[in-house]
Amino acid sequence: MAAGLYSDGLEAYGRDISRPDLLASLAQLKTYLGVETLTMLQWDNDRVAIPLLLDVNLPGHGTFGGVDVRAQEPVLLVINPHRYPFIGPMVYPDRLDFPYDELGHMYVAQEARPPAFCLVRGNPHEWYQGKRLKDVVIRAANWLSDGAAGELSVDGNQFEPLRLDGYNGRLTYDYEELVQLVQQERGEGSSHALCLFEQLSQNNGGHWQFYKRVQGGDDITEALLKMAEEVKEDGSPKVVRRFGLVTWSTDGIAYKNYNADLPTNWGEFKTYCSKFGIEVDELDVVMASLAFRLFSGSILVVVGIQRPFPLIGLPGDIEFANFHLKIDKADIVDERLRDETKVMFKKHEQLLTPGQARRISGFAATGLTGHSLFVGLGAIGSRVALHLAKSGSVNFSYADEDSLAPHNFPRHVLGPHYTGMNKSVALVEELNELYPGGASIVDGAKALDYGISRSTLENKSYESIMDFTASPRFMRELVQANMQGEPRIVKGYVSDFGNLGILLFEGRGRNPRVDDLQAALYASARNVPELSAWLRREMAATVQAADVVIGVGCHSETTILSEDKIAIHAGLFSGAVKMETADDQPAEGRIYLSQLKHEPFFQSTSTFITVAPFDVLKAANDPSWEVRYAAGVLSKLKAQMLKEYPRETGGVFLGFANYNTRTVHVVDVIDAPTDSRANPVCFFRGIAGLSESIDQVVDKTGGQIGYIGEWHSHPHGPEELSQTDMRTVLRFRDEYAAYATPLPVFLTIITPTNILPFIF
Amino acid sequence: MASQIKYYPVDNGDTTVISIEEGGYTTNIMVDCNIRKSSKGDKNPEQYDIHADLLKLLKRKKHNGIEGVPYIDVFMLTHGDEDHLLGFEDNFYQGDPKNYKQANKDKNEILVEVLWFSPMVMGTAGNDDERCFNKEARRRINLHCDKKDARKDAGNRIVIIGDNGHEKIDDVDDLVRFYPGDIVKRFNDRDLSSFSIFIHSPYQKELSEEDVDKNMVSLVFQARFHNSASLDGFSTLAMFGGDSNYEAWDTILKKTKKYGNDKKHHALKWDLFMAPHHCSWTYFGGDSENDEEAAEASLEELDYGRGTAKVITSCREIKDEEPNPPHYRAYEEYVDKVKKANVLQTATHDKKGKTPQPLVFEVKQLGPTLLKRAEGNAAVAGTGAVSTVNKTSSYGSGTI
Repeated sequence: MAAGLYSDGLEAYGRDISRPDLLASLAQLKTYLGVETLTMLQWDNDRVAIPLLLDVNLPGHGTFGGVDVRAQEPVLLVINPHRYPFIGPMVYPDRLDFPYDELGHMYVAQEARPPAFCLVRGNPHEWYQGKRLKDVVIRAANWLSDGAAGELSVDGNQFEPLRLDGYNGRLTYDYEELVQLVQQERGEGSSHALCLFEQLSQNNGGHWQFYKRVQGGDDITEALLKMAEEVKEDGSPKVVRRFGLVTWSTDGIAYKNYNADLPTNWGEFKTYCSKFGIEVDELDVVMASLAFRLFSGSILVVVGIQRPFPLIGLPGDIEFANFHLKIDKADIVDERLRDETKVMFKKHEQLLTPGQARRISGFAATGLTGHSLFVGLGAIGSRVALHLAKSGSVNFSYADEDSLAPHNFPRHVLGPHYTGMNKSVALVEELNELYPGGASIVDGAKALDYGISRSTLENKSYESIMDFTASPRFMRELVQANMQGEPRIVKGYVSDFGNLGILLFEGRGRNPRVDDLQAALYASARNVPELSAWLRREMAATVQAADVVIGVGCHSETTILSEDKIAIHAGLFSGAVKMETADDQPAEGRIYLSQLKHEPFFQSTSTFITVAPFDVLKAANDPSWEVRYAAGVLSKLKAQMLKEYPRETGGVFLGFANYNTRTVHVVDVIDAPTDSRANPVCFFRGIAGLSESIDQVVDKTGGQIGYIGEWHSHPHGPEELSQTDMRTVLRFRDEYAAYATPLPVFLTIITPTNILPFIF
Repeated sequence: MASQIKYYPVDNGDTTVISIEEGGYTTNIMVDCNIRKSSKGDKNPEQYDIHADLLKLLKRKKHNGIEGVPYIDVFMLTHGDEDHLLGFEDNFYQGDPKNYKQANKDKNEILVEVLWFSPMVMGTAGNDDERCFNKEARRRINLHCDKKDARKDAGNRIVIIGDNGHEKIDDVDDLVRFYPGDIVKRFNDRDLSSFSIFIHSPYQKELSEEDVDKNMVSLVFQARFHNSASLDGFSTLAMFGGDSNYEAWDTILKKTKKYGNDKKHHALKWDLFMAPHHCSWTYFGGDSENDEEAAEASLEELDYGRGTAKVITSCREIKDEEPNPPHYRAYEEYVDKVKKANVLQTATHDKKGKTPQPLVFEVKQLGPTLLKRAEGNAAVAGTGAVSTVNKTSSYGSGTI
C-alpha cells in the first residue's frame, strides 16, 4: 500500500504571487511541463510548495542496489515568493516512503519535513542566480536519475559523505589523525576511545578542538590533575578541556546508508548509532560513567561511520559525525543518561596542515621541501614568508634580529599584538596559529632572532637561502660565503621608492651570483629606458654617487611606502619563488621585476630577464681578486684579437669594482677608439669619443656602471705583462691615487691560448 | 563522452549512431542514414537537422593536409531501401580518399573509413543513393581484387557480411568477411574489448533475381557493450533489424538456438529493440489488413527483453490510422510486451518546439539510460549560427 504524500497534509496557498520575475518563471515552467495550472500549497508561513511529478530516466537493469527511485517521482518545488530569487527554490521528495537513507546529496531533515535534495555543490542560492525554475526541475529529475544509477553516493569509487547543515558550533581535528586512532584502537578490539577536547571559544555554539587520546587509569588521573593545575587565581581554568569519546563500529560492515534525521537527544542518538553498527548498550554505560565520574556539563562524542569507499575529498573511508551532549545533573538517573538529554551536532573543521595548504594552493609537491633559510622579515620578507607558509611551505629557519614596533604595522604582515616581539619569533608564532597541529611546524619552522653571519651560511646546509634583508652587509656575506652544498639563492628587495620590486634567482652552482645579477640588471638600463630612469632617480635622490644604495629597507618610519605596494611586489615574489623552486635549478639566473606606475593610472606590470652564467677568473697577480665577465664579453675579445691579427688590439671595459668583495664585474666592452694605433708588438689606445661613450653609460645607469679597466691582446705572447704594460699600470695607479675612491688598476691581456686579468 | 547509442528522428526511416568510448578513443558506427535535404538548416522545423548534428558528433582529422575533416569509423547498411540510405550521395564522400579535397570539406562531406557491405542485401539499385553506395562498395572491393596496397587505407576499407549474392568475390581471399553467428570485435582496424556485434543475418546462401526482396535480407545484428559487473556480462544489448520481417526472425531464432548462441552468447537478448520496418506489421506477420495473430517467433523474441527493456520505433507518430507503417496494431503488440512507457517513438518522445530530438541512451553499468536533459541558463547570447542572423530581416513603418 502506498505510503502517501507529504503534500497531502498541506493546505492550499491562499495568497497571490505578484513578483513579475517569479510569475514569468512559473509561466515558463508551465509551458515546459505542458500544464495549464500549477497547484500551490502552503509550505510554511513564508513559502509555497508546488507538487510536481517528474519523469526519471532509470537504468535499464534496475536501480543501484534496488533503491526505490521510480520512473515517476512526486516532488515538491518550494519557493519563497517574498525573497525570490535571492533565495532560490528547493526541491523535496513528496513520497513519505522516499528512500532518502540510501541516497547521498540530501540535506538534513528539519522540523519533521522531508530532507531537501542537494542539487549543487556549493551554495544553491548562488547557483540559482544563473537559472530559472524549469532548470531546477530538470536538475531535480537528473538528480533522481543519478540516485537511481548509484551515482549520487559513489563518485568514481569515492563515497559522498553526509550533507549536513544546521550545526551548533564547530569541532576541529585532523581527519587523518582520527582515522588512525580508530584503526589502531579497532585493531586492538576497542569500540571507543576516551579523549580530551579543548574549548577554543564559546561563541556561535562553541568551538572545540581535539586535544589528545587519553588512556584509562593513570592517564585519566594525570589528565585530571593537570586540568586542576591549570586554574586561574579566580578558580576558572585557563584552558577549558573536557573529556569526550570517539566511537566506532566493530562489526566489520561498511555502511552505505545515510540518516538525514540527526538525533536531538540521547535516545535518538542511540538509535542513530545503532544504524551504523555502533554498540549502543556499551555506549550508554560509558557515557554514564563519564558523566558521573568526570562530570563537566559538556561531553563531545565523535561517531565514526565505516563507509565502503574513501570519502570524496578525504584520504580515508571513515565518516565522522560530531555531537555535543549538554548534560544537567537532572539528566543522570540511576547512573545512566536520560534519553531526553539534549544532543547537538557540530561541524567538523579540518585542522589545517601544511600538506593540505599546499594542495589547496596548488603548490607543486616538489617545491621547497628541504630545510631552507629565510632571512629578513620586514614588510616584504614577512609577507613573502607568509605567502609561502600559506602555500604549505614552512620548512624554514626564519631569521631577523629586529623586533616589531608600532611603526612597522602599516606595512608589516603581522598585527599589533606582536608588538615588541622579535620578528622571527612572532612569525613562527603566527605559523603555529595557522597550523595548530604542531607536528609539521616543530620539525620545520624555527625562529632565529639574531643576525646571520657568514659562519651560519657556511656551517649549515640549506636547500635554499632567501634574502629579503635589503642589507648590503648581508649581501656581502652572501656573496663571499663558501657554502655547503649548492643552496639555491634568492634575493628580493624593493627600490625606486617602493615602485620597483626586484627578485634575483642565482643560476646553478651560484653562477650567475646575486652580485652578477645586479650587475646585469644595471647593465640592462643602457637599453631599457624604464630601468635607466629608475637608476637616474636613485642617483638624483642622493647627494653623492658613493652614497647611492639601491634598495630601500622598509623598516624605517620615515620610509614612505604603502602596504598595498608591498603586497603587489610580495605576491609576485612569492609566485615566482614557487614556480622556480618547483623545477630543477636552471643554469641561467633570472631577474623578476615588479613595476608600479601611477600615470596615466595606477598599474602593475612585471618583466623577466634571464642572465647567462658569467666567466669567472682570478686575477693572475693577486688571486684574492676575482674578475667576473658577463657572458659574451670574452668571446668579443677573442673575436677582436683574431680580426686584428697579427696586430695587437684592445679596448675598454665597462663595469664596476667592489673592494669589499674584491670583485670586478665586467658587463661589456667599448671598442678601441678610432685614433688608436697598433702593430704586432704595440697597441696605443686612443681617446676619440671614449669619454663621451663612457659618460653615456654612466648617465644611463645612474652611475652604477662605468669605466672599470682596459684590455689588449698579445697575439704573439708573452703571457704576462710587458714592461710597457707595467709602465702604464704604474701611471694609472698614480693618477687614481688622487681620487676619493681610487679605481683599481684592472688590465686584461688576451693571448691565443689564455686570458689573464691583472688587478693592482 | 560515455559510450552511447543515438537514434535520430527521421519519420519512417532509420539513422543510428553507436559511439563506443574505449581507451580514450571513440569509435563511431553509423547504421543506415536518412538525411533529408529539407531537414538541413531551419527549412523545416518539424525535421531534426541530422547532418548538422553529425558534424558536431563525429571526430575530425587532418586528411590530405586538410584540417578538420569529419569522418565516421564504420558505416553499416542494413539494406538498400531509400529510407535507409537517403542522403548518402550528398553527405558522404565517395571515391579514392586521396582525392578528398578542400571543396569536399567545404561541403562537409563525411569520410567513411570502413564500409560494411552485404552483397545479399544489394540487388539492382532502386535509387540514386543506393547506386552510389553500390558503386562505392564495388570500388573498394576492386581494390582487393586488384590487390592494391591502398585497400588497407582508411576510406578504402570494406567488410563483407554474409554470402556473395550476385557479387563475384569468391576468389578474393583477403576481404574481411563475417557471417551470421560471428561475433565481431574489430572495427576500423581496432580491436575493442568493451564492444562487439553478433551477426544474425543475412543468413541466406543464394538468391534468384525474383527472390531479391531486400526486406527479407536485412542485416540483423545485436550490438553488445561488455561489462563483467553487469547483467549477463553486458551492460547494454541493442538489437537492430533493418526491415527484417517475421519470416526472417523465425529463421534467426531457430538458427540461434540450434547453434546454442542464445545461451552461450545471449545472442537473442536485448535492452533496446529497434522495431523493424518502422513499426510495421511485417515484423509480426504477412497480412497487415486483417486481424491475423502475431507470429510466435516474433513474440518470443520480444520476451528476450531484459530489465526495463525498451522498444524504439523509428517512424512517424503512431496513430490508429493510415498510412502504414507505422502500424497501430504492431505498436499495440509492443506495448503489450514492454508497457507503453517503454515504447519510445522517435517522432514524439522529446521535442523542442516542433522539432523532434534524437533518443540518446548512455551505456551504463546498470543498463542503457536515457541521457539526462540539459538545463538552460538565465543569461543567454546567440551565436552567428542563429537562424535569424542568417536571414534578411525587413523593417519599415510602411509597406516595402
